[in-house]
Amino acid sequence: MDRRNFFKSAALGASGVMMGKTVLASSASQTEGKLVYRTLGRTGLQIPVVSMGVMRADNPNLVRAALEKGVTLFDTAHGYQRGNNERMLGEVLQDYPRDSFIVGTKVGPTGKDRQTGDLTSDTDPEEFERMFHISLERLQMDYVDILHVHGLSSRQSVTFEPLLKKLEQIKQEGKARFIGFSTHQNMPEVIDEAAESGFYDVVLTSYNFQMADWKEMNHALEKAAAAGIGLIAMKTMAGAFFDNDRTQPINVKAALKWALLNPNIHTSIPGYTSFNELEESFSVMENLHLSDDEMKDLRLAQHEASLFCLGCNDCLGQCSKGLSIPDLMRGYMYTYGYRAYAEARELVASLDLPSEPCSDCAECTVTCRRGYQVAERISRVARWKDVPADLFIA
Amino acid sequence: MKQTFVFIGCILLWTGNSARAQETGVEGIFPEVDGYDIVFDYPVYQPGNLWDYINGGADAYLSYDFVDLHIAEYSRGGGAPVKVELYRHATPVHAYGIYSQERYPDFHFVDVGAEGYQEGSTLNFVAGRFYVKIMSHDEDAETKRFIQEIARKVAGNIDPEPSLPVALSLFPSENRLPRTETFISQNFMGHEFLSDVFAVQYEEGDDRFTLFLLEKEKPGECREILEAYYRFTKTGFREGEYHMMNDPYNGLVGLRLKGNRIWGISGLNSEEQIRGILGSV
Repeated sequence: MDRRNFFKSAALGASGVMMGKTVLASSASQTEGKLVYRTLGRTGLQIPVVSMGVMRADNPNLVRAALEKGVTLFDTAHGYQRGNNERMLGEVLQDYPRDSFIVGTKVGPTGKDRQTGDLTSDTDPEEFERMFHISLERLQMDYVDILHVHGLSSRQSVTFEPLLKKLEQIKQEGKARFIGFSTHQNMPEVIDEAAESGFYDVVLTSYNFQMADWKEMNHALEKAAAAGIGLIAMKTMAGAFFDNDRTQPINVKAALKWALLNPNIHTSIPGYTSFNELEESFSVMENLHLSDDEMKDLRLAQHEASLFCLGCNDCLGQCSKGLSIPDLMRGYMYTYGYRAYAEARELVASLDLPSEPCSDCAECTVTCRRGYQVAERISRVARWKDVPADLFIA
Repeated sequence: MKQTFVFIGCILLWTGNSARAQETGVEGIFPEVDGYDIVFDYPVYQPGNLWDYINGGADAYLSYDFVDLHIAEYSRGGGAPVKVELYRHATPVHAYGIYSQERYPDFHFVDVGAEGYQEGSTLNFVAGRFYVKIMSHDEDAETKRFIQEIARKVAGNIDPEPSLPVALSLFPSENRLPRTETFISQNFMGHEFLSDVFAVQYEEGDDRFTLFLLEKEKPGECREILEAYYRFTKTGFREGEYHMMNDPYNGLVGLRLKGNRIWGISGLNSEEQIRGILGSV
C-alpha cells in the first residue's frame, strides 16, 4: 500500500469507528479484532477503551497505524519533547477529517507550590493561556477536544478560582470543547474534589493494579464517574517493571486489562512506541477478562509488593502503645507503594510518634489480617518523622 | 530493593547539597557566580521518581538511560531565579539522544556545549553525559545574558571540549538538513528490532527522506536485524548487500549491509534512487 492510500484507508478507518459501538478494524491492520467502546462521561464521546498516549512516539506512521486500527483519542502535552510531540501529532492529523479524532493536550500551570501542590499568587492564568495558544499553533488546530491542566495534586489546585475562570473563558471561546486535568499524586482527594466541584468534564489519572486495595482511590473513581466525569487511566503498566533496575517486567497486557475491568475507567492511554506494542495493547479488547495466568501474574505482583493496607481497621486498639496502625500502614504504602514521600512524611509527622515506638515491646500485640509484620513496618516508616518537610516536593 | 532506594534517597536529602554532590559526582559542575546565591532546594531525582518532576515526560528520559537529575537555582535581589537542571544519562550518546528528541531545527542555536539553543530565557544544550536545561521566568536582556554566561561555565565544567557523537560525521553532507540529526534508542520507525539508530533528514529536489545508521559490534548482529525485518514484512530472507523492504507502515525502506553497519533510507519511492544514495555511504 502506498502512503497516499495508507492515508485514505486510515481516514476511513478513523471515521468508521464513530459509527457504531463495535466494529472491526480495517483490513490493513496486522491483527483484526473487536473494539470495545465506552462513553467518556458527560462529554458523550464514545471511544475505544484503548487510546494512545503519544508522549514518547516520534514516528508519524505509528499515529497513522493507530488511527487505522480505530484509535480516536490521542493524548499529548505542551511539554512533551519540548513541543515536538504536539508538532508531530498535528502534522499527521492534518490528513484526517477533524471530526474523526479527539485530541487532548495538557498545559502546566505556573506557580505551583512544590510542598503542597497548591496553586499560588504566582500562578498566572494569562501565561497558561499563552502556552495553550502555542500548543494550538503546534497542533495546527483551532481547538482541542480536551484541555487538561497538567499535574494537579491538591484539593486547592482543583478549584483555584483564577485558573477556573481562564479555563471557562477558553471553553466559551470554543478553543477547548472539554476541560480536564491530569493527576498522579494524591489522586483520591483530587478526584473527589473534582467530583464535588462539578467543573471538570474529564480526569486523567494514574491507575493500575497496584492500587487494587486502595479503597479511597476506587471510591473516588466511583464518585467521579457517578458525577459524570469522564475518566482516563494512565500509567496502567505501573512503570512496566517491578524493580527500579528494570529487570523484572510486568505483564503489561494483564495490567492494562486490570485497569479496564473497572467500568468507571472509560479509556486508557498506553504509551506505545512500536507497532508490536500497539497490536498488543489493542489485543486486550479481544477479551477484557483476565486469564488464569494473567491473574496469577497480577496476584504475584500484589503478593510481591505486599504493600497495600486494606484499611479493614481490624488492628485498631490492638497496639499496647495505642499507635494508629492503619495510619502507619498507610504511610508505609505511600512510601514503598506509591513513592508519595511528601504525603508519607506528612502523615507520619501528624501522628506525634515517640522515638523508636516499638523498641521496648518484647512482642508485637498487633495481628494483621494480611499477615504484615507490623512492627517491622512501623520501624521503617517511623523514620519519616525526623525528615524536614521542605526537602520534598508534593 | 525499594526500601534501599527510598532510604538511600532520604540519606542523600538529609546530608544536604555538599555531601550530595560529592556522592553523586556532579561536584564542581554548578559554578559559583559573583553576586548570585545558589540554592539547592530540590531532591536528586532518579529513575524511580522522575515522574514527580516532569510528569509523563519522564518515560522518554528513561528510555535514554536516564541516571539522575540535579537542580540548582541562582538568585539575586528580587528577580526570578535562574534554574539549572543537569540530566545525567548513561552515555554521551544517550544524553545527545534525548536532547535531539526535544530540539527543533528552527530554534536559535548558540555556541554552547556540543550543541545548544536559546529560546527567550530558556537555554538547553548537551555536553558529555549531561543534557542541561537553564531557564528563568524573567525575559529581560540581563537575565538572558546571565543564562548564556552560566551555560558556558556549566558546559566548561562538564567537558571543555564537547563533541557530537562520532557516528554523525559518517553521514554525507550533501543535501543534509541542518539540526535534524537524532539518535533513537528504541523502536526506530516503530520497530522493536531497530534500536540505537542515528538518523538524519535530507532534501533532494522535491524529495525529503531519512538516512539512518545502525552500528553493531558484530556483522552477525546486523544480519539478525535484517532477518527480523524480513519476518516483519512476511517475506523470506534474501542474501545480499542491498535489501528493499516493503514495510506495511513505513513504505519502501532500503537497507545496505556493510560489515557491522546497516545503512538505511525511508521516505523515497524509487529503488534506483535509494541504491544510488546507499551506494555512496
